[in-house]
Amino acid sequence: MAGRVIVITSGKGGVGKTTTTANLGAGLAMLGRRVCLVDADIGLRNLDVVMGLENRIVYDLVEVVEGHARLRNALIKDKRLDGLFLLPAAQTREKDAVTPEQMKALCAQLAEEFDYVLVDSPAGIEHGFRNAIAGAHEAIIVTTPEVAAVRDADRITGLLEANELSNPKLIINRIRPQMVRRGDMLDIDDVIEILAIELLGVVPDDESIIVATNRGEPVVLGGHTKAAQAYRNIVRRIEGEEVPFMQIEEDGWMSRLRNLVGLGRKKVRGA
Amino acid sequence: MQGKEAVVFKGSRAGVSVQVDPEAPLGAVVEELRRKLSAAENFFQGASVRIELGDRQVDPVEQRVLRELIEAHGLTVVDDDPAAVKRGANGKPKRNAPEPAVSGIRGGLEPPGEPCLLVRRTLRSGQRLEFDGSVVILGDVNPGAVVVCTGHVIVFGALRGVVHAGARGNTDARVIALRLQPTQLRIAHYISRSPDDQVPGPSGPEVALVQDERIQIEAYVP
Repeated sequence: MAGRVIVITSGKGGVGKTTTTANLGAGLAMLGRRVCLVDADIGLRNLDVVMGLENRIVYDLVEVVEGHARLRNALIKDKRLDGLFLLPAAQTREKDAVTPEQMKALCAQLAEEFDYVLVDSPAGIEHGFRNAIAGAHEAIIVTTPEVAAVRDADRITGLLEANELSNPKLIINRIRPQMVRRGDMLDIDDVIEILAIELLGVVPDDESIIVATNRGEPVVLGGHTKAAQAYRNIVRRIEGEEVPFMQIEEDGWMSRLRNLVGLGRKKVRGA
Repeated sequence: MQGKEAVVFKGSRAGVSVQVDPEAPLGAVVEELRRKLSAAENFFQGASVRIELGDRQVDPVEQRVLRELIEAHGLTVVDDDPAAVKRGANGKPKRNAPEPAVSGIRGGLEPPGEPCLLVRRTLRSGQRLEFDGSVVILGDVNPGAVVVCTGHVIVFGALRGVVHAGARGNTDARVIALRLQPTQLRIAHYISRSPDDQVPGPSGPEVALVQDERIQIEAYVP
């Protein structure tokens, strides 16, 4: 059976598409799945850096679709996980070096070999976005609890539906429980209410992600942080498991006290 | 120096000039121009160039073809009107044909050396430089930038990107940098990559060369 091709997209830049792609890919590979990550952000590639594989790039996606390199030679095997591979984007080319038809053929070819093909989409809704979604069967939308990001996620949802990618799943990234509690940040229910799509998970804002990203190590490999746990839960949900949403809010004495006296603000539902 | 090339790019303070061999057929000129422009697409992007036709008899069509080709690659053509090239009584252009500063050793001989491109800026992520010959860069080569050339690469700065020297198979090619910290190094068909764990390298200049069938790095001793 052919593998699942999932595009990870957002509309807005900087919400964590690439970090999400890296962590979901690593998480799926930890479960023993064969995973290929495809960086569709031609000209502004990042996924190789986040994965710590930049120094292994010899050929890239554009060279493969142009026929200058063979797919198997361009795939970079991850240095930590056996079933994980990366097809890097070209850095010295532009988005229009590839057409949606070529991406479709490429994704189909990869889906024959891998259980999962995760396509990291560039920000925006232009050519690069259309390339990224061309070969996908499913979509995951990443957003942050900010009005602008949610607005863009909504726009993307509409575009995906217009391209026959209905039922996209949502990941809300960088939620900060304290801010939500103070009412300074959109909470999960607000986001869901606007977008009305299925929630795949919530990833708390976590300094460990920045550290891990700079080191080229997906945080999910590290273990004990809340963010790592959140990614592992999302991965299991992608696999079809029912995983209850974890509580992100710390049970500090303050919150317990507030609950006790009936002042508890909205509960923060978790990843 | 470069034999019978129909088109030669020359850089000077005034900008880039394209010197067209007066004898070469238009077809050859156009083809070579196109090849050289595409090979260095990013490098020339936005530059203004002067077309220098020397003694060549040009008709307006031919001139337009060259101009459009150059502009299609993102360059701006300035002052390509043949009338602007002042000609002496013998029909030789006076301007743009300066006396060579070095006329060889004791006259007559070609100056020793080989083609070399001097780049006086930092190459940033996404920029790709290709050259048939050696390259000297007075600046850095940042991660994500690529330099590919058939000769040596010398970086008077930090080399952090990808460099491929001796790209047509010259295993004697060397890569020298004041700070040699490339993402990846290629010399001829050899490839080496940076170690995954950040090890602080020596602070002095280093040279990479092929020894014992692999790329080795040592301190650069002039």
